[in-house]
Amino acid sequence: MARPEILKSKFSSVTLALIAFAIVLNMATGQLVSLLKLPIFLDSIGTILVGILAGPIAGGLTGLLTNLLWGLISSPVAAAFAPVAMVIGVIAGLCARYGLFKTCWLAIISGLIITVFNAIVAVPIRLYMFGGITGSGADFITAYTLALGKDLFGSVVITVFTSNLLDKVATALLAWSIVKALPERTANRLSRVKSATT
Amino acid sequence: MPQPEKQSGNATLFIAGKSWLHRLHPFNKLLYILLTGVIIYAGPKGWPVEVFLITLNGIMALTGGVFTAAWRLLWRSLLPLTLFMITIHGFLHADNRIILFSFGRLHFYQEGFVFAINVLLQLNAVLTASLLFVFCTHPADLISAISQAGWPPSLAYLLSSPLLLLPLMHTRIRTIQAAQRSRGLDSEGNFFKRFLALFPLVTPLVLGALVEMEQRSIALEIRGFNAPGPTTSWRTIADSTGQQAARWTMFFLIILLIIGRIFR
Amino acid sequence: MQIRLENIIFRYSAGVPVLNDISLDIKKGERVALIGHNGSGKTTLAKHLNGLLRPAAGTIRIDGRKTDTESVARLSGIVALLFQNPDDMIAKRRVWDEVAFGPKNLAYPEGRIKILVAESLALFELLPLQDCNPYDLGYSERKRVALASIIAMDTPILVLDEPTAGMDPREIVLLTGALEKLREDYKTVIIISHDMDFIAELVPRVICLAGGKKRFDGLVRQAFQDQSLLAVCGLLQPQIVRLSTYFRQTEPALTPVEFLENWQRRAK
Repeated sequence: MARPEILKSKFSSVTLALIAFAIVLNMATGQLVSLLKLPIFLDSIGTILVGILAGPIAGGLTGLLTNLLWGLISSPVAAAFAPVAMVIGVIAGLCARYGLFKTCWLAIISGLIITVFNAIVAVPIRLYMFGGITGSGADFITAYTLALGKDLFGSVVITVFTSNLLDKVATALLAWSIVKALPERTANRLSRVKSATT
Repeated sequence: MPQPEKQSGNATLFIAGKSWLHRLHPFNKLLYILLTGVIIYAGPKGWPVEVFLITLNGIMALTGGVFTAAWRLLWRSLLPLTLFMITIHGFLHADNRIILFSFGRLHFYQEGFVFAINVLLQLNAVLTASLLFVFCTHPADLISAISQAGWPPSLAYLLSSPLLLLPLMHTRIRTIQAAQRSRGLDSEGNFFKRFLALFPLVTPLVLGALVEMEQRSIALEIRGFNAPGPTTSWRTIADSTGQQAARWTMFFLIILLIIGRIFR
Repeated sequence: MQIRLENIIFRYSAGVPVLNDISLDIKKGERVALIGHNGSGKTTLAKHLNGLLRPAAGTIRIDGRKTDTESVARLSGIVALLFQNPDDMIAKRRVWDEVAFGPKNLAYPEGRIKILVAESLALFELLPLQDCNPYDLGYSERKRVALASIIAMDTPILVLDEPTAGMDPREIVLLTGALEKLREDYKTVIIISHDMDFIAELVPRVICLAGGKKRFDGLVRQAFQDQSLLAVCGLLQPQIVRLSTYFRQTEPALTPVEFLENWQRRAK
């Protein structure tokens, strides 16, 4: 069976270790911030970080593998959204490549761009696989917009957009501030950092 | 995007066993999920197909000894979904015309109800197929199968090391929370204050680990991760010509169904 | 401030108690060491003092007031807790900001924060590094940053978990100086440590825990003479005590100075 082209390109050991760590970060950070009771999941913080540090391909791979592993160990539903996670990593990598993680304000713009692409991929999955409903709190937004007379497609677009906006912007900001705070030693090894943020 | 349940520790869903489902090659089980998905979303539509697949999966779960576990997980993950789906679509679906029953001025419609049931059946078929895999395949077996099939060892590393790191990460997270709360971090203030509190919580987690990771990547280099040549592993996954044939059959069925969908 | 623990019991879910009926009194301005092997309950006990953990039974009083309903955020202004690994707390891009983090959270006035941060940085010779990124520094320097950021919180009670771990002898001298300063300021300091040499020299009173129970509470000299106690607690005598016992000095020495004094007395 054909192997995806992505996996043939060799990553350096630093990048591999970074991706592995980022996957765990995606899975665990939600627990870290649970004590703040914010409507934020931060389940793409590792993906966006890798996108900035190691480029769109590594970022996409991080997102994809996170959700596949998640599907494997806790909830198969997560695997259905693997393409969404992948796109987040790719877009974050592209944003960094075009200098959109240089300042705090640009990072917010990157967060907005990621939210848009997140919606482009998530809406069809949510619509065709889940009939627009996923059994989470965000369903109330869908119900509300439906009750206002919107059709299902419009309601799902609004739901996906609003429930992800704060999360993706916060994640992009966090990733930016972390990359800024990286020690020089580590930053030098991950040579992309300099071109992405300064 | 739905939030997968956050489970603490390294709790995988795998249930130890010796059934034929457990012994089946992991790739066969993976392809079966894919095949189910393709049948549902690209193949012949209609509830008989979905009900047939769900029944088939149920029988397989029974013979594999994971029926009760699968039943419980299905309830847990589909119950809220079912409730939301049926109420929201029953009352609010845009195509609603025929009233089934009413609560005062609230009307419950047939079109929305049928739509909801249909989506739920489709989801159920795919979910049960993936549960067969998740409950009967130890992650280590999947990873061994991947390296034995000649996929790059880096992929096996990327799938296995997060599972090992996860419990360590959970421990560190608890320590960081405790450390920052001890320094008076305000976790109960207004929205903006709580938002700012994200930074001192996330930064130590990532920076501390990145500094440590530098050393790990050096260790990987020493272990020859990027070394050329075939890799060997301890665990061997049983395979047979029959299983290989089944894999190719499923593979071609998937391709056929997709082609059929495109030219329909 | 006086700390009084009465019959503290703590267990994780339904397991065996990690802390089993612990009672103790610590006076204002006292310096106490909490010792015992890994898993004896030292850190668990420390986390009870600032409300991170709540006892299943028993009461904790600070200055006579029960603390079981006080939030961690409020208690953080009374009890500061240094965690073992500095990387679990360092979150800022500048050393100065890191040290100011605690005092800012406690909402001290601007002027006081500046003084506290400058004093704490000076104690650990960090003033020249105040604009550095903490993660560009070495591990032991980060440990000093962590210590400074705890001391800058200016709380009446400090709990230091393994303060000497990873530090070189010169840095331990800085720590000793900081402890002297804390004594002058009449602060209560509780030190959790495996570093028996450090404890023998600097801490007059030790509390030994083993299996979640208090096995000893008294003078450090007595503790280090009691071989069976040390065996139960899995501890080794400090080097200077072993040396002094080897030479059959009647009163075992706790510091090199004491050892020499004993030696000269015998020579006379």
